[in-house]
Amino acid sequence: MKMSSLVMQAVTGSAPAVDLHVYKKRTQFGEVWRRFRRSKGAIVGLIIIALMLFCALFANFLFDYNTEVIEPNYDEALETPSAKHWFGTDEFGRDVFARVVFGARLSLYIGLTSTTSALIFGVLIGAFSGYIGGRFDSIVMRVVDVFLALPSILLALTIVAALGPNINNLILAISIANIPYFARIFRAEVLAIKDKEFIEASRALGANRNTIIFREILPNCLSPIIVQASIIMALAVIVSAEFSFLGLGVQPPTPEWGCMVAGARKFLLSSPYLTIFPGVAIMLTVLAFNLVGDALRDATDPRLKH
Amino acid sequence: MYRYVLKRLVLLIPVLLGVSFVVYTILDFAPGDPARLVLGSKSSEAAREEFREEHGLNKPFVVRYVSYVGKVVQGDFGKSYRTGRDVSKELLNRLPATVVLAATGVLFAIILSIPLGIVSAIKQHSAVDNVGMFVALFGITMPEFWLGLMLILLFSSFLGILPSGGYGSFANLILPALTVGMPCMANLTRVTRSEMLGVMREDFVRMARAKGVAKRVVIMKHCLKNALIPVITVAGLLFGTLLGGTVIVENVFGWPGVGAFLVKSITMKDIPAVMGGVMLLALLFSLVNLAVDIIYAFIDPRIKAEYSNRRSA
Repeated sequence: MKMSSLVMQAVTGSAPAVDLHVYKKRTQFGEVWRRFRRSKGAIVGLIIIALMLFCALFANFLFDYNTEVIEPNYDEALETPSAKHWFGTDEFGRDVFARVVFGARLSLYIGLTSTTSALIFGVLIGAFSGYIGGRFDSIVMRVVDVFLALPSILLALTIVAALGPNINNLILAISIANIPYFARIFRAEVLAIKDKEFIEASRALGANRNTIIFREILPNCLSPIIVQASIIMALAVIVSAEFSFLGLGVQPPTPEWGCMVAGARKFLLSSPYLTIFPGVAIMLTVLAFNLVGDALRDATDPRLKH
Repeated sequence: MYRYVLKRLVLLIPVLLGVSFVVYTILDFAPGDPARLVLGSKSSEAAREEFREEHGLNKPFVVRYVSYVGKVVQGDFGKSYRTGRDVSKELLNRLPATVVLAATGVLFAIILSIPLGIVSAIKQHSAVDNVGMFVALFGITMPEFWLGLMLILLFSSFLGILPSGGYGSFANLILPALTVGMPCMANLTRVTRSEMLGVMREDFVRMARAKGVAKRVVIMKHCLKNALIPVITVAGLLFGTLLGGTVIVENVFGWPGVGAFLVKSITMKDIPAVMGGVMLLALLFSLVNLAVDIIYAFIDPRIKAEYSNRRSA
């Protein structure tokens, strides 16, 4: 790229120095962002995520949690959507819009905490296993294989069954169920990179194992992990809604989206909007993280650079 | 080939043992005294002690685990705390319903996704491709329980053409199978499309076209055969997600399968039943993946060659 553009400059006769200057300024992050921005889906995804984040952060400025989200108000029960109640009211007379907005807080909280903890543990396991190699690596990978032989929903169900249904156990279950995926992906990255010259150079300079793993390997293997994280984030939002729907996650009257759908089920035929709105919220959130994940994958894939 | 099948079967044993150990260990963390749970809080200490003795609950963890595995190998999953009946009998009664649901879901996913993926790839960036990818994206993003409820709303309530629940006839099966197969269908469409796009740019495809082979033949024979190999692997892995999906979908449609039993057992803290249900679904998942690997070996001449060469050498 650099060479060919230099040749181009030579042919067209414009000053090459200016061009080189431009190239120097383009960082890895800038390059990925430039390619990421080109995807329409990515922008849509980012806008939805920003909207959800806004709801999550400012929910208590928009609505009062106790009076509008939790406490019953039977005078206004089961009202259809109107100017006063945008998404209508549920059987307890609570404003569905307010509950959906507060639901964003819960879903993003569960998604972020479970994905982050799965990422941290997965990356640590993958990094040490891949870098140390040998017998340690094969033992760790056999254990990871066993966990992968159990579909992640079943593993999460088992953990919830043992610990009992509440929000913290749900987060724990989702993160444990996803650790093996991160570990396997990160290990593959480490294996691909650990014999490269710059790692050898670092070792020759006297860097110890931890320095090499955290300073050299980690920053160079991040992109597939970030892509995976956005996909796991989407999955975590779905799983938390599904578990809460089954009564195995967040419990009513907490305004979790899956929990709301479970409560609205009795009124599916008479008041379908009670089921539709929380579901749309789940779908939009999941869609957003999937779109961002897809765009990130394309933007960080060196094969699709041009 | 039989050597390959045998090897895969043998390799399955340690994995299943590992899975059983993980599940047993996790469920051992369950708080609460099973004896008190089953006999009630008014029961005498002597009766509880007798219960623990009978179920081997007062033995050390390793002894309990080994004897559990020993019994499971003989098809005995213990007795349900809730009903007192054999867990294995309860599971066997419900297994056919889950298998039918999962198999119909997979069938639906494959029948729709592969043609859709191929057409999307051949007509890349066309209207068909855009619509196909849009549908696929929504199939991935919709949570199954919600999709199920929406289908009930559309097909049973507004159109009134399909039942919203129940079990027995083919009409009862359609909506649950659609729901359970949808995420799988969406994923497979995307994989088929991207694999086809990759293969269509290979040199041997251009070569075949240059030789004068008809486009249709090249796509069906040269491209599809090569693109299907990763598609089949993904289909096997997706079966795990699909089995997890049956747990949720069975609860939406009141489908009398293993998943509905599992969720009920979890809410009732019926640990032997939970363990049995999880183990059975994990076994099913492993067997399907084994079958996929074997099919894979039949399709992929590289694996076949490796094993036939070794035997002749």
